[in-house]
Amino acid sequence: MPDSQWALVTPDAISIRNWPDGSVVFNARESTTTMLSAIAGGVVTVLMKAPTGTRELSAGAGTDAQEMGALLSALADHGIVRRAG
Amino acid sequence: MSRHTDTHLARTLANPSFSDSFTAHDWEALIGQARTSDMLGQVAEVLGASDRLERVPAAVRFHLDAALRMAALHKSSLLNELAVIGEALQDIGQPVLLLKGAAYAAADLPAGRSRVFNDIDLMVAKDVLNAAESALYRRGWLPTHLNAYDQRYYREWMHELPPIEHRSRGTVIDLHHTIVPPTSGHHPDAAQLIADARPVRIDGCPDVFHVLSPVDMVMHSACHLFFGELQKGLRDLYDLHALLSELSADPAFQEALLPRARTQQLEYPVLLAVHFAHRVFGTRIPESLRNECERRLSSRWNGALSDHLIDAAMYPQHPSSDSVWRRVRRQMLYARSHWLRMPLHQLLPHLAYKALVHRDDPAG
Amino acid sequence: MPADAVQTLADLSTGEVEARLHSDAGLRLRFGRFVAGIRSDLRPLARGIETLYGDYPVAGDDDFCDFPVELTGTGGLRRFVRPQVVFRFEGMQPFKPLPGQQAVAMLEWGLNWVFTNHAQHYLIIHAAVLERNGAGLIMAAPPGSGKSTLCAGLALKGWRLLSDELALVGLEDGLLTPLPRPISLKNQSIDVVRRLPGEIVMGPVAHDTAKGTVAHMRPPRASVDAALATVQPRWILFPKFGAGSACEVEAMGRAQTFMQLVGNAFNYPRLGATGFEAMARLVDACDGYTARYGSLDQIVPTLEALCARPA
Repeated sequence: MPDSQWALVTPDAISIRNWPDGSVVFNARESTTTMLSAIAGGVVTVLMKAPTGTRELSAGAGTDAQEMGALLSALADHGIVRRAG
Repeated sequence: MSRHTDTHLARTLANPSFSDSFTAHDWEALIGQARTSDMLGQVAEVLGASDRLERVPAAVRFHLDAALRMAALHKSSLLNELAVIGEALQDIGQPVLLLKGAAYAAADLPAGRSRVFNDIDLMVAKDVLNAAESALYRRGWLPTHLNAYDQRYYREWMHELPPIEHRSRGTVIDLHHTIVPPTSGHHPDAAQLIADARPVRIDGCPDVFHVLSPVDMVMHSACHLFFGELQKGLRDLYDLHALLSELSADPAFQEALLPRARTQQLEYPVLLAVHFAHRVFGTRIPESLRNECERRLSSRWNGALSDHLIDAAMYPQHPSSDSVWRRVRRQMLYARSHWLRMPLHQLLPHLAYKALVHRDDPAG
Repeated sequence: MPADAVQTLADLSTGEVEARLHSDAGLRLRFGRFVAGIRSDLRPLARGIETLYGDYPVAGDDDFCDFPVELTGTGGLRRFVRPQVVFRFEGMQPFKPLPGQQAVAMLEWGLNWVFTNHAQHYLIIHAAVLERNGAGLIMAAPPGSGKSTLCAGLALKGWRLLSDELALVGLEDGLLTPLPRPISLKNQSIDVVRRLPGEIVMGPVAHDTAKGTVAHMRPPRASVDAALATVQPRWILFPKFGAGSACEVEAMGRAQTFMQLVGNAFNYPRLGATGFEAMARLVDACDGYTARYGSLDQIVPTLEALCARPA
């Protein structure tokens, strides 16, 4: 399976805080506040630094690539991340 | 009302040193007038620009700083919305004009500094109006006036579509196809206005936005004020003051303003704008232009009456500056705004419908 | 009275209170850092103000008045048939008139509206705020959760009242700014609070308001005297009263606490990223809890124990 790259849709507009019970993401562009699982919060935090591939993200989070793929699709559905190639 | 305080807002905006000898009572009048006129940000702006904020009493400063904070939030939220709108409209293949507040902010004009932005006014050519509206629907802006009468009123008689409101963020867009209602009997050449518009760049946004040329911008601002209901007369006049102060020093502007307004059949509001801006704010406008405006204005048979009525709209609707007579004159102005925009055979049924059938809920 | 003592409303005679209420400048009272100038020609309102605001400092005519408000009766025949009261702020009328006997409640609601709309330097959360041992407890909950009753119960046990309605969280320093006001009690809670031990003064009871029967409890003097002392927030509680419920206090994670507070914060959406940062700092500084309880006898000692722990 080719390794897709992922990026935040509006990186400049995103703020995030990570806590043990989950993460809270603020999107200034859409003016939305969303609670994410700790793993999803970790993914957003990594993507705030630079676009990253699915494999690297799943290795970092200690999940398998398929689970990470499902998580990324869910984040894409919420307009938080997009495929970057 | 007190004659001592009734012009505190206008005089402070025109000349901030006016506030140097203020007592607590004077500050109360100024802040109250600025609140009721939605102009607290502009007051903070002029006091800051003349290095006076440090000297303002701390209790007053709290409200001025709050207004600056709100104005900054307004501006960043406006630029955010414009970025979303720009993406939505990048495929209509035609320039999108920003009007009024959005234009002043995007073009970084002094008129846009620390100003409150309410609705976002856009203008596109009439043949892409529906495409633009649909594109905005797809990005979450939905019609607010679902009533069939209102829809028809806007679509047949007005220069703009019924306002659309974003379903989660609540931002409101007024989509125009020209700058005055066609029913007013004035028919400016919208295609010409669009052709002469200047591009503006907004960070993180596709390059679709333009603003009216300097003369057209003043002309439109004047139409908006003097063909409107003059509910926020002083604030709209202050926009004109800021525009004229900035633009009228340019000889090309001075030469073009009145001929352009005449070609577009919109000379009268421009004459009033120059007249009232100078009277209320002492706007610096080159002598020759101002004299020409006064001469043309005085030749109009209804000049004195309008002058007297409009004057009442230039005082804040605050206990320190309002009176029964000023309220009566504003009522007459309200009626005037409707006959200016609509022939009587359309106006009377419209007002009757508004009065008898369609009850707008008061604020509460 | 010594010359340097702060003049309070109780130092003024009834005639003087009425004269000030009738004057152009209004009766000027200090509500923490703000001065409100109240004008009114309504006698019962004057009595209510004397009952509830006796301990409040009176500002001088030369002090800047932040918020001029006016409560008047409607004119004409209405005055005799079914009197109504109108609230104005800077000449504007933000609400519809209410029946005349609700004048005191309307003053309270009107002032809440004024403070909420002008305290722009704060993240404003709909919550009761109290101080214990120098640290702040924020109790956020929707109407009907028993928040105000619990707030009154704690205030009568010596907790310092900062507000029963508005948590003002400084956007720059993260501290809680007090805005002590009479505690608004509704329906059965009026009698529950009346039966508590301690010195309890209630304002007039207004029936058939939008919120049912409403009365206000005069805030403790010590809370009014300390109205300028800000507090570091330490605990966030989401209380829920249920008749017959056992007392259960559970810790809540910070992300969850954040999301619950967002739903109670008036100006959070307007503040953009600034609001997010302020909320995150608040949540980081506090421990979050939910509390279910069936009586003040259960919950008050529980909170006294919880908030006795070193911060």
